[in-house]
Formats: sequence, C-alpha cells, structure tokens
Amino acid sequence: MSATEIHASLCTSAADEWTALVATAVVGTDRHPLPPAALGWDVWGAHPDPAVALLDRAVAIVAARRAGTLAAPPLPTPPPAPTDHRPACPPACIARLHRLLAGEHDELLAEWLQLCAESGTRPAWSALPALLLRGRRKPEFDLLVRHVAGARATWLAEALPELGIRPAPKAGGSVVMMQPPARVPDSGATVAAIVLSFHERAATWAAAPQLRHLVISLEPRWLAALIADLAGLPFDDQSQRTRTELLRLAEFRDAMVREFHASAPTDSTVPIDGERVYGDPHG
Amino acid sequence: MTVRPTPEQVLSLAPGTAAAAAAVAVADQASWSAAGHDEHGVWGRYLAAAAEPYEVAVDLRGPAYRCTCPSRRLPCKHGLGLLLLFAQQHVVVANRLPFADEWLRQRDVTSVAEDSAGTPDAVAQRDGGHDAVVTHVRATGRVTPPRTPVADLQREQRRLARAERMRVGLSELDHWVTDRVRAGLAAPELADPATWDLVAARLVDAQCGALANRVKRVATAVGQHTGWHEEVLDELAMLHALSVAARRTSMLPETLADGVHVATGLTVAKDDVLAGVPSTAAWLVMGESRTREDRITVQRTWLRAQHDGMPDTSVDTWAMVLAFGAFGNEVATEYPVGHVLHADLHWYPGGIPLRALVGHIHCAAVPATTAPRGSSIDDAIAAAGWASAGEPWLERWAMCVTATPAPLGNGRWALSDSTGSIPIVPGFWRLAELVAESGGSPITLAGEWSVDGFLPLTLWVGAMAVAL
Repeated sequence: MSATEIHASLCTSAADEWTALVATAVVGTDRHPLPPAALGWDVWGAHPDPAVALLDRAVAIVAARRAGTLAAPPLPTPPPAPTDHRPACPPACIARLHRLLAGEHDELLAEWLQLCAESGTRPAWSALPALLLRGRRKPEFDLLVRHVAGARATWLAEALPELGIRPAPKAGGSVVMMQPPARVPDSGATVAAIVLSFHERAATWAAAPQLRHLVISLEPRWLAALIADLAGLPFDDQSQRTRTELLRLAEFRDAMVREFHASAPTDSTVPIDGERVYGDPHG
Repeated sequence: MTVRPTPEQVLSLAPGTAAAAAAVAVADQASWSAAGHDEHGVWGRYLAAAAEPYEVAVDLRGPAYRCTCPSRRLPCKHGLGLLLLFAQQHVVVANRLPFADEWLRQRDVTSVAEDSAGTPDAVAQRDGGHDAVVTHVRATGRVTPPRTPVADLQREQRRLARAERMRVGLSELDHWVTDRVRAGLAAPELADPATWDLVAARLVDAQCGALANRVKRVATAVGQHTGWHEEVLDELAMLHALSVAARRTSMLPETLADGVHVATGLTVAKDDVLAGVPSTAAWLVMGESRTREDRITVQRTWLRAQHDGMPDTSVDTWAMVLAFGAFGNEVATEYPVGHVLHADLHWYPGGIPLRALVGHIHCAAVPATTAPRGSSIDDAIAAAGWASAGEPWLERWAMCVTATPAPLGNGRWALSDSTGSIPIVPGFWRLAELVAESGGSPITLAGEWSVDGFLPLTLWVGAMAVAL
C-alpha cells in the first residue's frame, strides 16, 4: 500500500472506530459490549475495564483527529468589489471617524464625510457597515454615505444581505443628501458673539445647544481664535460647564479639519478649495 | 576516578537541616529498587507511596542530580537520599539502568561544553565549607537559580502537599469519567448541571482549577445540538487522558510531563520561568482575546517573532502572554496590539513553547511599520496540527492568515484561499467589517483557532492593526 492509501484506509477506519465508540458510550459499557478496535486503531493493549478501554481508544482517535485536522476545500468567494483607486484616509482620520461613530460629537459626522470626499480619500472600509447602518433610518445621511463610499456600499449590501442594508435610495427623489450645517456669514462676528455671551452671563447650560450649533457652523479657520478666547475667559461657576463643552467641541472639530488638511494628497483628482476651508485666518 | 563521599559530606550538600533530615528518611534501602553505581554515577528507582516509582540518578562528577519526582528543587531529597545510600556503601556496582545511561551520556556532552565555554548554566553554591557545583541543566537548557534554603523548603512542602491533593482529585475525576461511560452518555444525570458543578467544585478543591474550567465547558455542550454525544465523548476522553497522564508524569518525556502539569493546574512560579533561557526577538503584538472563566477574566495576548531579513521562514514563533483580572475588573492592555516590542520572552514548561512571560524589554513598544505576513490556510492548519500533536489537550492556537471571507450558508462565514477554508466561529459579531474591508479580495487576519473555528482578533490594513 502506498502512503496515501494507508492514510485513506486509516481515515476510513478512524471514522468507523469513532462511530462505534460513540454508539457504545451513549448506551454505556454496562449495557453494550465494546466492539473490537477498527483496523489500525488497536494502538495500545486493551484495559480489562471496558469503560477505561473505550476512553483509551477514544483518546487515540481524538488526538489523531486534532493533530490531523485538514482545511476544508476552498469556497467560492463573493465577486470582487469594483476597484476604487482612492487611497484610504490617514490613520488619524480613521481613528476620529471611529470616535464619531461611537457617539462623540456625532453632529460632526456629516462634515467628516464631506472632508473625506474633498480630500480625494475614502473612508476605511471597515467603518462602512457602521456608517450604512446609521443611515438605515436617515435617508439623507444614507445618501451622503453612499456618495462618499462609492460602489463598495452597493457591493457590501449585496455580498452581506444579512446586514439588512436597503438598496441605494434614488438620488433626485424627495430625499436630499445631508450637508454639514451651513456656514455662518461672518465667522469673526460669530466668535465675538459667542465670547460675549459668556461675558454677559448668557451662556447658561440651556443656551448650550444653540452655542454648539454656532461652533459647528463656523469657518474652520476661526476655530483656533475661538479656542484661545474661550480658554482665556475668567472662571465663572455658572457657565463653566458650557465653556468646557464648547471648548471640547471646537478642539475636536479643529483637529478633525487639520488631520485631513495635513494629509491631503497633492495629486488628488478632486479639487480642494484650500482658501475657503483651510486658509490662515491671520493671513 | 571517583572518590566515595562520606555521609557527612552528602548531608552538607542539603540546602538546610530539614532537607537533610528528609534525605536521611529517604535513604532507606527498602524504598529503593535497582539501585546501582559505576565510576561516574549512582542511580535507582525510588518507590513512592502515591505514584509511579521516581527515576533518580546522580552524576558523581558534579555532583548533578536528576529525578522524576514533582519537586522542582535541586537537589531533591531523593537525589540526596540516593547519594547518602551510596556513601553508606549500600549501593552495589551494576550496569546502568537505561534512563541513567541516557542521562549520564547527555551529561558527558554537556560537561565538555561547559568546561570549554564556561556557560552560565552552572550555578555554584557554597555550602558548609565544601565547594559543590550544582548544575541543573535540563533537556531544554533551563536553569534553576539558587534560593534561600528555608523559604525554598517551605515552598517545596507546599508544592508537594498540593501535588498530593491534585493526585487525589485527578483520581476522582477519572473515576467519574469512567462511570459516565459505564452508565452511558444518555443517562439522565449527565443532563443535570448539578452533576457537573459537583465535579468541577471537587476539582477546584483539589486545586486543579484548569481542569475544573474544562469540565464546566463540557457541561455546556450537553444536549446543545444533535452531535453533542460526540463532543462530550471527545472532551471526556481528553479529561481521561490528562488525569491518567498527570499520575504518570514520571514515565513521560520531560517537556510533555511539564505540559501535563500546567494543563492540570500545577502552577509554575514566575521566578522559575524567568530563570529560563529567554528567546530574544522583535515581537509583534498580533492580537488580544478575553474570556471569562468563573470569576476571573483571562486575557491572552498573542505575540509573534518578527523574522527580519528572513521573509522565507515558514515556521512562525508564537507566544501567549496571559493576564488575569478579578471578576468585574478589566484587565489592562499591557502590550498594545499592532506594536512591536524588542524583548526577552521566557517560556513556561510544556510540550510546545506557547505560554511565556515577558522579561527584559530592550526597546519600548513602537507601532509596527510593516504588515505581518499572513500564511495560507493550509499552512496555518498544519501549524495548528503540529501544536496539537505536541499537546493534544490544547484549546487554542494562534494563526495569521491572508484569505478572503466567503459565505458558508445559514449566516455562517469562512475564510478561504486557494489552499482551503476554515470556518469563522459562530456568533462573531464584527463580520461585516471584515467583509467590507475585503471587498471580495484577501485580507490579513490574526486570530485564535479552536474546535469552534477561527476567532478573528485583529484585522491588518497594511501595518495598521484594527482590533476586532
């Protein structure tokens, strides 16, 4: 017999041996006699106690099977997704996206996606399911995600139907793609107004949502000025919480914009309006 | 030419008066069989009350000692007792027993190497004015450092007491397992969780915690699916193998015996592990997994040696570093996934090098700059098979594969390449991320392989690690 034949024969007899052992063990050796070992599996002297003998023989099969496990045959894989030539956005941006998806300042999510599209990069594909799932009840957000993700979103919905992603909503229908908040017409004046609200003791916790909205509507180049002004305010017990909240938001947004700016590829096919978004406020 | 020592000289080799007294008690001719000596060595079988006879040998040129008793102290009382018997002229000239011959021959080779190279394997102990070089070179090259005699003795006594409790517990376990096979797996008491809890509790009492956890896991398989009889017989067979092996460690090869000790719950002191010869390499932190066992959170950190400049090296060196947290407390991540640390790793004893301790860190952890090499499915399964051949009771093995997620049907997925496929464990909840990242093309994943399938732990996007 060749080695392959011996192997095949041992595999067959191992299956027989195991089946016999399981059948006997289920009923119990008290009620069912232990059949003799299958060909090639008479590996050690039979113990006089049939229960011990059964276990001894089972150990041989189990050890051989664990050590001799083979991979299953190759499987058909899903059709490859359409090629996407955009580079993935930088690791810092991906890390920030995960923080946004975890719920931290998630009102900035739309702006993150827009920055990503403008920089000519794509989101990390591993974040795509979370983005798509978030869009399941918000069609306008879904449109934005699919706009940024491109063909991979449609591919994923088909490859993984159990994810429960609906087909892409039709553009041009009643749903309009989500946009980041419209920029305030005069960011400098808005920064001054925010700071003034603190001086006038109007920046209560109740006013925080409106102030937050102002912060995310500023031209990003004014964020540094806002951060400096807020940090320089004298301590005030009443508005302390609002101030901390606004500072965190402004710093988060400032960092988010800078991360994309720092990494924008120079050979990007998507034009970037650097002056509008990233210009130096003091320049 | 060997000079026979006097009994006083032998007793002066004992690390303390209590150890000397123990050696005197052991030096009883009735306890020994096949004791003999020649010009280089003394050997014999010590008839232990509770276990297989211990095989004891002393190399008179060192003197150096070898004994198969569970004691980790050198010299153990059996070695000293034998030497004492020899000093009292109770040992006759004889042909070497096979184990003694093999060991003394190994010693010949080692002594020559030591003499020429002056390796640090020789630990010198000054004791009672006599210069005695006690060398403890085991097959794996591990060395036991000198300790203070009194603390050592107490520790040894605790160890032996524990070994005895474990022996009794393992005996009980084996009886119980055998009774299950005798009565049949279909017997109603097997489906009663209380039956299993009792066995697990007895094992905990016997300080075989590792086995108690295994028993509890088997209990959860009962009645779970149509093939549960097979799964339970599989696990009962392994419990039988371990409980028999643990009572016969003196007959097993040393590394396998060590593996059995660890699998049954005999703990190894960190100092002993750290005293071993380390493997120094740049270790890439490949992944981290956590499981809850009873009231303890167990964290496994998988490291893999980076073979710089040797990209064709097909054998990967994996190491598993464990950390524990009491129930409710998170275990802190000490070695961040995706980082490389240049460090000494010290291996726990065992049939295969797997569990390790991080010793000296030469260079703090820095993020990896290159993507880890993923193996083919076939190679990864083959490596797991070799590991399982070394320690058949192994429950997990690490893999890093480059393959494509592919649907198996019924919501199950697998990883596939041209060499084969392996299932992803049921209930892995971050599958969508893998599928999205792959886009139908191969991705590199590190994870744990077990009977349930492959549990992905880390997705590698280039050199960047995404913990799953």
